[in-house]
Order: sequence, then C-alpha cells, then structure tokens
Amino acid sequence: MNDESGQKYPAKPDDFPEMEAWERDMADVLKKSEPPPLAPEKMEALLATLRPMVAARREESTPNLSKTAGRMDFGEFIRLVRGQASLLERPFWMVMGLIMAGNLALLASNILQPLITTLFLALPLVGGISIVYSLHGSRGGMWEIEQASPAGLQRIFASRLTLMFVLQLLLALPVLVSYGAQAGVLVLARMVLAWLAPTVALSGMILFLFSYWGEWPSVGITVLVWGSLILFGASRAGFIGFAEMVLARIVFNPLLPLLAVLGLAAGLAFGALGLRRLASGRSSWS
Amino acid sequence: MDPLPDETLFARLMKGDEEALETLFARYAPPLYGFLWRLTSDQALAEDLLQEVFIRLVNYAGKPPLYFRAWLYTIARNLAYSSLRAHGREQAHRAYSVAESDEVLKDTTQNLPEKVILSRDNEERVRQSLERLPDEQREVVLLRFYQGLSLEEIAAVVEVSLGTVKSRLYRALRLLRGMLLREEMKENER
Amino acid sequence: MLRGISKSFDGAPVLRRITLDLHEGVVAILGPNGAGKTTLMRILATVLAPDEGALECNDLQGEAALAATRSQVGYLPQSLELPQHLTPRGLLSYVTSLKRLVVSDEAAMQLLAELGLETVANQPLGQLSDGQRRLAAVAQAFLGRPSLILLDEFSAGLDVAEREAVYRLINAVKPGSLVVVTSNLPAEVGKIAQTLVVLRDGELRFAGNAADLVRQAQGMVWEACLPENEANSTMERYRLSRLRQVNGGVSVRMVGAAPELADARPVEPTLEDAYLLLMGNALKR
Repeated sequence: MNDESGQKYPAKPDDFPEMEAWERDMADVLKKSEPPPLAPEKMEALLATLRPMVAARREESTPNLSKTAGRMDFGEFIRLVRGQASLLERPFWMVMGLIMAGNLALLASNILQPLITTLFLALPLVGGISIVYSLHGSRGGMWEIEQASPAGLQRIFASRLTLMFVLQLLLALPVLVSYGAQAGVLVLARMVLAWLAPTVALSGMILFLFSYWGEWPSVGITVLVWGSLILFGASRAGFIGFAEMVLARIVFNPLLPLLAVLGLAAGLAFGALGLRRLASGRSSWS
Repeated sequence: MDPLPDETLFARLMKGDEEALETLFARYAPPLYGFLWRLTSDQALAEDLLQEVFIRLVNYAGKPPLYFRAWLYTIARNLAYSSLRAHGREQAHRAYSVAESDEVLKDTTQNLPEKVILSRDNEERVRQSLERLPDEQREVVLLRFYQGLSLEEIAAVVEVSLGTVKSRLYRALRLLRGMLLREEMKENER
Repeated sequence: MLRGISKSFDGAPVLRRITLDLHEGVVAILGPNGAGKTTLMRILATVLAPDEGALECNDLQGEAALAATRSQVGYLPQSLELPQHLTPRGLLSYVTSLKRLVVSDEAAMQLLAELGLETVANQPLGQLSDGQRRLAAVAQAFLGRPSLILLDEFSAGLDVAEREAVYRLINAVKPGSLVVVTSNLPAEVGKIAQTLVVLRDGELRFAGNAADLVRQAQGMVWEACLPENEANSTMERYRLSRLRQVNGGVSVRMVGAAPELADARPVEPTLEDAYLLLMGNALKR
C-alpha cells in the first residue's frame, strides 16, 4: 500500500511488528507535553453560552399538556377529521368518486336521468354502509391507541361521523341542487328531508346493529330493510319508472315532515346507543 | 452506577437536558481543547474552536451519530482545518510537508537506540517535534496518544482506511523517535 | 400508582390485587406468557378498566386520573393490527391529531430517522417487514415526548440493531419521565431498566431493582460439567439456567438448592438465574 508520499509501506497489521513497542515507548514521552490549562472561568463562560441554546431545545420539543386535557377547539377538530380521512383506504375513495361521477354523468345526460333518482334512493344506504366501513380501521392496536389518546373515543367518533356526513352530503348535492334549481326552494327543502331523514335513520340503525353483531349482519339487515321499503314503494308504483314515482311520493307526502323528524330522532337515538356500546368496549367488534 | 454512555447523553442533550450538557462538557471540553491546541499550535484559536464545536453540538439537528466520540473529533478536526485555511495557513507553520518528512526520516533513523529516553527540556522538545510532523501524521498521533482513540475511531475521524492510519502512525512514530533521539544525542555530545 | 388492581376474564383471574407505585425511570414488567403483563399494561394505558382497585396519576383519582394519564401517555399496544395502507409518516400524522398536538413534519421525520425508518417513511405499513412495522408503532408512542411511555412487547420481531435503536430512544426520554416495558427476557430488560416488576400467575412476585433480585439468588446458582449421558437425567432433576456443549461433555448451570452432583460449584448469579429461581415451575423448560 502506498501512502501519499509515494513510498511503499506495509499496511497489514503484522507488518508493523515494532509499532506496539514504539507506542509504549512514546506514550510516556508524549505525555510530557501538556497544553496550557483552560481557565475555569473560561469553561464556565462557555457553558453559560450553551445553556440558553439547550433550554431552547427543551421548549421546542415539549408539548403543551394543558392543551391536551381541555376542550377541543375547531381547528383541532378539523385536524382530527382530516386524520380520520387518512384512515380511509383508496378503494373507498374510488367508490365515492365513481358514485359522484355517476351522479354528474346521469345529471348531464337527458336519456339516463330517471336512473339518477334510483341512485338518489340508494344514497341513504351508501351512507350507512360507509359509516360501518369507517369503523373498520379502528381495530386491534389502532383501537387501543385511540382509546388511550387525549382526543377520546367520543371526539373520534364525532369526527368520523362528521366526515362521513360531509361526504354523503357531497354525493347528494348534485341531485339536490339540480332538482331544487328546477323545482324551487320548497321542493328542495323536502328533498333534503327525504334524503337526510333516511340517511340518519339508516346510519343509526346500522351503528346500533354493528355494535351488537358486527359488520356483515348490520349491513345485511340494513340493506334488507331499506331494499324492502324501496321494493314496496316500487310495487305500488308499478316498477317501470318507479324511482321517480317513489321519490315523488316521498317528497310530496303530506306526512313527510313528521316522518322525517321521527326518522331523525330514531336514527340519532339508536346511533348514540350503538356508539356508547362501542366506546365501552362491550361490542362484538372490539 | 456506571457513567452514562456518550450516545445516551447526546440524545438527552438533543431533547434539552442541561445535565447531559454539563456531563458531556466536563467529559470532553478539556481533551478537545488539548487536541485543538496541539493541532493548531494557537491557544486563542483553540479556545474559539472549542466554543464553536460545542455550539454545533448543541444546535445539531440531524440523525444522531452511532459513535459519538469519533463524530465529535471529526467536527473538531474539520473546524480546525477550515479555520487554519481561512487564516491562510495550510499547515501549522513549523510542520514539515510529507515529502520533507521523508527526508528527515531517512536522516534521523539510522543507528538509533531502541528506547527513547529524554534528559531535560522534555516538554519543549516534544512539543516542537510534534509541531514538525506533517498535519496528517500529527493528527493521528494526537488522536492516538492524547485523546485515546482506537485506530478504527481514528480512521473514522480522518476519513481514511485503517491501513492508512497505521501507516501514518508508523511513520509519525519513526519520525518522532528519530527527531527526539537525534536531539538527545546532540545534547549529550555537548 | 396502581392500588389493589384485580382483573378477571370469563371468571378466570388474570391479575390479583396488584399494588405498584411507579415513579420516573425505566420499569420492566417481566413474567412468562399468561402472567398478566399485557392486561396490566392495558390498565395502565386506561384502555381496560380493572374489576377492582384504582389507578392514580399525579395524586389524582378516578376520572381525573384517567384524563391526566391519557393527556401524557404514549402507548405501544401488543397487537400490531394497524391500517396497512397507512405509511409510517401517515401513522404519526394521525396519532398527532389523536394526541391533540402540533408536531412538525421535520420532527416526525427526525423521530422516524432515529429508528432507521427514514427511507420507508412513505411506504405503506403493509409493505414493510414485521420489524419495521413494530418500529413505526414504537415511533408513535414517543410522539410529542410524553412523560409516560408504555411499550408492550416492544422487542418482539426486532433484530439486534432495531432493538438498540429503541433502547437509545428509551434512554433519551426527558428527565422525570416514566417508561414501562414488558418482556419475558430478563437479559434484555436488565440493560435498560432500573426497576423490575415480576409477575407470575397474575400476582406480584417482585418489585425492586435488578441488583436486589440478583441478591435473592445468591448461593442458589451452581455449575457443573457432566458427561453427555448424564445430562438428560440432570435436566429432569434440577432447574437449568443454561446448558451448553463443551469439550468432553456438557456444562450445566442450575438454580435452586445445592445439587447432589460431585463437582457442582457455586457461582455468582445473573439476572436470568434470579428470574428463573423466582418463576419456579411457571416456566416450562
């Protein structure tokens, strides 16, 4: 091996047999040279310079604990909602995207417009199923981390349901706006009720069933119930063009406001019972 | 209780632990200062560089080093050389270049006794001899004998292979021995 | 502080009247499988409510203690069931919102880098190795520099370098913090823990420092060299701490009363010996 001067020097350990002896020899000799001492005042002055920098590191990395234990402000809640969105997988977003695209395409197309009312009638079911889906990320380890967190299960569920509700509203919006623009504010308000009440009712029901029996039974029963109602309405309407007929019957039914209130109340009550059961950990799922 | 390892103390320092700072400072400020002084032959510069090393340490924000001591000496060494270059000094002015040291080596290592025993003016003679070593050899000697680093750590600090470290140390020791013994022989002849 | 904690599942007791006063430093809960370690950790993390007894935190009790614990805890559960599509970075981001913190992306990446995960920070957890997934889960426990860190089975599936990275994180917690880890390997926890808690069949068998536990085994550890054909019978008669092949036979290390072997000589106990002695027949060898 050559070093920088170009002279050849052996590089393997055994090729410096005398080095060990030289090191011992030189160790005592070299120790005779001492540096001028560093004055204690200078050491202390240097430490004094460094202490504030260390303190700054301490401050930048300590969370504000009083904040984590008190009321949650709006900004924090939004961050929590965004966090819930990150738990939803790509297939979910694709399905949402497809439904939205379907909505818009059908609205734009005159020929297929009747289909849009069919889609609209299915939206409450989509809402309920998406709520069950949103809970499936919280299992096992993640569920325990959520339980042990300062955010708390109640706020986590609230943020999750908020996210789902906003997404469902976005899905329903094209139809609501389109029909409302054509038929006026009163019809729009009735259509909103016709969408909101079944959505909340089905969501509450599915949550309640989920807290007892888990995913598939809750989804299955809810699909059965809503499907049966639609089919019943369809049979009364003669099946052909049934969707528009069913929707018209719902929207222009004089009992709609009362039924909507009942549906909302039932949905909220069952939903709350289901959430409480989930939060207490007594459910079949946790 | 055993003293905490450097890596643990450094990790605590990164999180703002003042006690960790004080322990690391007590542990490393004196030897680092000695290293910097011997490397630069300038007391004032060595003090400034010592401050700079610790400021960099305390404000460090990257991935924690696996081997703290070698990493610390790397910072000190690099700062020292940057500073010397900034002051227009490529080497401590009394040092030989590598080529010069080869000539001195040939001249001084013939017919020398086995053991180096110095009679008087030891400190000054040793200091002067160290200063005459080329930088690359002097730093290896300093890290080995004054800072107590292993050859592997030295290789990490100066960023060369282990073989190169050994070769530099070998030549440095030969040169040192040669210079010191030659001086001693001249002294005895007077 | 745990006071008189008891817990049963389906009528079978898992923890029996455990009282522990934990302060700062690193505490290791040791015990064989089924000793109740994970149940105890889940109670400490406020994820599970005990049947009897109370959890106190900072001299607070009841709901206030639960809220105080949750506001400062970082918890690694035993189960690694995490959303597989989340990346380590995404996991830290979500847990940041759960912990009601604002942690910069740089700080989160720094934490991942300390565990060697910086190159896989943006890969889904489902694509990572078991060790990397566990390290990501460890990272979320340390997020925000909590003052109570609970790591249940943190080293399962980790290689030596990965475990060392976690030890470094544990050693670097801010002063005054309490770190509680569980393990069934005494040698591992002896390196990092000042206090050891040993559980067996849901009961507290020991709480104190490692040196005290080792002292209990003084005079109870023996070594002998035996011919191979005697090794099996020795294994059945005595509790072995270690067995290894040597030239001309088998070297055995036993814990318990003096064995009836000709050349058995007493040796200094290690932590593993002391743990084995304490466990009695609970550990199947």
